[in-house]
Amino acid sequence: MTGGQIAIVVGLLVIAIAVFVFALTRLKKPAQNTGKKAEEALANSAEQDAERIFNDEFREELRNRGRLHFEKIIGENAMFLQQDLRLTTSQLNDYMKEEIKRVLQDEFAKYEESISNAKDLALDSIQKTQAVIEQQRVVLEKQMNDQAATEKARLIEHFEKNMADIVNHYILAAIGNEIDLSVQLDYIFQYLEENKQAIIEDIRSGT
Amino acid sequence: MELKLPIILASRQDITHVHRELRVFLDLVSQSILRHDNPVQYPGISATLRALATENQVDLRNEAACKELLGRLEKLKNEAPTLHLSFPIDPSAEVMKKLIVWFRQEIDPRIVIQIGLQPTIAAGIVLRTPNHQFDFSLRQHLYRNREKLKEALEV
Repeated sequence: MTGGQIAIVVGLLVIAIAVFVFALTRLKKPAQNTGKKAEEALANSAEQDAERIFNDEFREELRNRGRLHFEKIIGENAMFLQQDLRLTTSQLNDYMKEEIKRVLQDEFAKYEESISNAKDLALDSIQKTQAVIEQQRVVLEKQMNDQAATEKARLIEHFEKNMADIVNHYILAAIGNEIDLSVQLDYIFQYLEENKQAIIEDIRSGT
Repeated sequence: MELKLPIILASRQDITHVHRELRVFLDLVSQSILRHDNPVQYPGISATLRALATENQVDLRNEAACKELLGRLEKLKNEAPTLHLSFPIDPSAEVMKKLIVWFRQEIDPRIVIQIGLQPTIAAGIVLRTPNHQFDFSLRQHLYRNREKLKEALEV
């Protein structure tokens, strides 16, 4: 309510009180019409008294009192309004806090759930990848072991097959320029003796 | 009677050379006789021919004996069994002498030898007869004893 409206209300109240007092005066002194003049005189006297009582100063006094009372009410209401406003603001803040907190918690929960899902997916994917890698590693290891074993067997077979040539090669490289046939004669004659008969037969059959 | 071959007469080429030399010797001696040289001019002879004549006790001044020797040499040139010996290095004269003596004593007195080089043998020899090859090399020795060699290498 504005200040103007409050003033109008106060004025209406004062007028209503005046009318009520006037009517009460008239009811207390019913028409004991002792005489028209007496009534008129009484009326005039009452009117004068009313005018004397509700003179300008008294009205001003009432107006001031009404203004003060109004200001007081206004102040109190403003205070109450301010308190209500503060309370409302506080409640609104709390509500907003709660709402924001709830929304944020919901969002964080969703976010955490999403993160958790993504993490699970990533872990699952990593585990699958690790499993595939491990499987491939095992297969590769087996292949490499097989190949190594095959190659080793082949090398050993090759070495055993050509062992005499290989050793002979190294002996030849080692003794190279120091071959002395005279020291080998015993060895040569031993073989010649062992194969003498075969040599004789071959020569007889060939000539 | 078998012709005795001196050690110095080792290969078929040697027989061919000495055969040719003896033939030339005979020709020259015949020519000298025809010229009525007095005394008869005898050309010089090689150590091989000298050794052959000495070994077989042939007097080269005797034309008939020379012709007989020539004939036997001719026969030997065609019939002498040849052995091919491969060595890792050039054999010394001493080694050759021992081998020839052994072959002529143990196998056949007419044997002649042809020498070859085969450095991969390393040690020993490879003997090739008309129809067969006898590998007496170290490589073959190792091959024959490869199980022992394998055991030795495993140890």
